[in-house]
Amino acid sequence: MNSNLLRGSLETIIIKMLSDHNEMYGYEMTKMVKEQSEGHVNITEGALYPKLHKLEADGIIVSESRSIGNRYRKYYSLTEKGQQEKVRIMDEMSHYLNSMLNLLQIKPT
Amino acid sequence: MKAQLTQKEVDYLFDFVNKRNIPYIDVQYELVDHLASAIEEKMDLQSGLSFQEALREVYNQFPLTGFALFQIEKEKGLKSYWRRKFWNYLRQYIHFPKILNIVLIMLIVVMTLLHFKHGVLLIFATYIITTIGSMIVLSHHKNIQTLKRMGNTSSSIHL
Repeated sequence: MNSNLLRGSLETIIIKMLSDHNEMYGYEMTKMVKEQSEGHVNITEGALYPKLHKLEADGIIVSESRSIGNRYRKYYSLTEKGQQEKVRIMDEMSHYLNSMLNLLQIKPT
Repeated sequence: MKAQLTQKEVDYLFDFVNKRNIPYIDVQYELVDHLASAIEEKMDLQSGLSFQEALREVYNQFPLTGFALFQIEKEKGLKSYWRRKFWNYLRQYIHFPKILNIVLIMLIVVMTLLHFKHGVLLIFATYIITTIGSMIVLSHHKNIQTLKRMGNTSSSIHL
């Protein structure tokens, strides 16, 4: 999939995943996106982690590091602000997608 | 059986990340876990694949800039965090009535400097006296509060 198209939706994807699953770590997110999109959407590490760090700096998500044997794993979850942001961002995405479908006269498959 | 990296291999990954100029420990931990998870999965899917081969394949999936983007975004995030903290702190003092204190103190300082020969010394002495005075008053207030709390606790026991 075109990476420019995906870049604009990455924040929405992350927030939605964290809303559906209480907490997730980076690698788990890349795997889930790949699986749920049947391999059509592939989030690269170079795009995912900087976005996660930005969302954390903005107070949308929060992280917690936990030991998993011989290394640490950083789990992310939504903050209260993130929960509110999820409602807004999903609404915005829904309007955007509907407008695009109408504008480009694409029938949903 | 699922592949599990050894401590030596995890240490190697830390060294690998460190050599690529990632000074922030939390970013290092995150990258090491990501590389390790991807390597373990690759080793599960392709039996006989060595740790080094798997690492090379995983690292090749990163952008050409390697980990540089992580570093840039982390620094941006830290700057934005401290900027937000600073403005929040400042905003508390711009509201009424705290703003009156600041204006009053500034007026006193300016008037003292203009009208007294040793204005700087006078301001310094006032500052020291006020600080010590506040500490004494605060500590006295705290003692009274503690005594009151103790009094309340004991009366509740009697009840």
